[in-house]
Amino acid sequence: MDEFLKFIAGIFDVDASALSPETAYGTVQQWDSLMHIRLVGEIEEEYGVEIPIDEVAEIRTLADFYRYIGV
Amino acid sequence: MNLTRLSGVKVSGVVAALPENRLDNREAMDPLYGNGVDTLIKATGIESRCIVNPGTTALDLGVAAAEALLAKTNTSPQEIGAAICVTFTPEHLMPADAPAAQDRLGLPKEIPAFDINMACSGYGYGLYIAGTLVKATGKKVLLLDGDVQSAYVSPEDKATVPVLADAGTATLLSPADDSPEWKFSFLTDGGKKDVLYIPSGGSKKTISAEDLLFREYGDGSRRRDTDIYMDGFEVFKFVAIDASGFLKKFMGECGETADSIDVFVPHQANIYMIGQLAKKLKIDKQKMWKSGDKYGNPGSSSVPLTIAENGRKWIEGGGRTDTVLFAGFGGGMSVSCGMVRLEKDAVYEIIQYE
Repeated sequence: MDEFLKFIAGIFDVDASALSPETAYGTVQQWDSLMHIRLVGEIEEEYGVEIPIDEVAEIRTLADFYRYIGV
Repeated sequence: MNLTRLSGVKVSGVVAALPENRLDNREAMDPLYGNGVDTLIKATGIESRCIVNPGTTALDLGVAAAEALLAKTNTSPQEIGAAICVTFTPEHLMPADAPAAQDRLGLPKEIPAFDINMACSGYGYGLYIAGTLVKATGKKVLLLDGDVQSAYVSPEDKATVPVLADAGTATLLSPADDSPEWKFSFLTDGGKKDVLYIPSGGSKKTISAEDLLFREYGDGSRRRDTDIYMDGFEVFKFVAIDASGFLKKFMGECGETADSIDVFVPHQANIYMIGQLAKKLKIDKQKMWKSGDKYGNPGSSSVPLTIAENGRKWIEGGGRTDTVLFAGFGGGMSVSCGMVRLEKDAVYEIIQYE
């Protein structure tokens, strides 16, 4: 999870310590709807997984995203 | 699924007029996003956006596009049997833009001329209704589709200003007995109307002094009640779930697959998002036409603008356009989609409005 949070922190351009698995959509300024879509793409590319587009809208927290990378 | 069919109609040309200014989105969004501007550009895929000078209207752009289109197709204004303007940003709430287009283009007085107000799904409505008028009148029909959204966008609203743009287009439809059958389908969910709307300025809430004050919202955005409000997350959900499922079903009902279609022209909502949509539909990225990366999201005119941008190049490069899937989605909430042929010898061109 730490590596994952570091990866996300790089995208948000914040310190990884500012993030936790509970960090949710809308609770950090960077994570708006445009960022949400980008996160899907970045995570898919980095971890070689596929997040079905119809499930994307149900994802709310970083922990929700983490489930898809299967580690 | 209700599939509507139309035959005996062809597209003779699509011309788009770009407004006076093309903004570098990085530079334009720097004051609002600061360090986050690179992230923003990656998240939207919109490198630049086209915006009018204040006072230039969607009708101005549409008329310029139509003048070029009539000239390039050697069409006399007297040949036109109907005129439609697709816009939610007309010059006035009343009268509609289309009568003014009739006058400015010198079209016959004895024709139907009217507007269609359907925001981002408008082009499918326009093409379908214009096509039925071709059949009904046996004459050519002029379809203007354009919006000047910048007149209703807060410069400090993070949900709208980084993506929304302006453009005007004109499409000429002609009778053609040998044209293949076109198919259309429409999805409507008015229960979600408050997801993407302008709160004030209609008869429900005429503009008061208070509506003109900028208010601050949670994400640091500021906007007036006379500006476009968009719940980006809900819009994304609508596209990801409702629109994508509907398009999949539509392809199936048309007897087509991601492999069998030649081209996919989605509304240029946000380049990143439509890339995801194509992926979900399993449509090869090469088949997806774009214009939003260069011009932004100009409302419903994004579909004809994308056709004007890519049509000629694609055909000259040997690409087929026999089975073209297009889709508009947005305010309403609403989806329109169609499966049409784009003629090889039609005019596809972009002009600069001055």
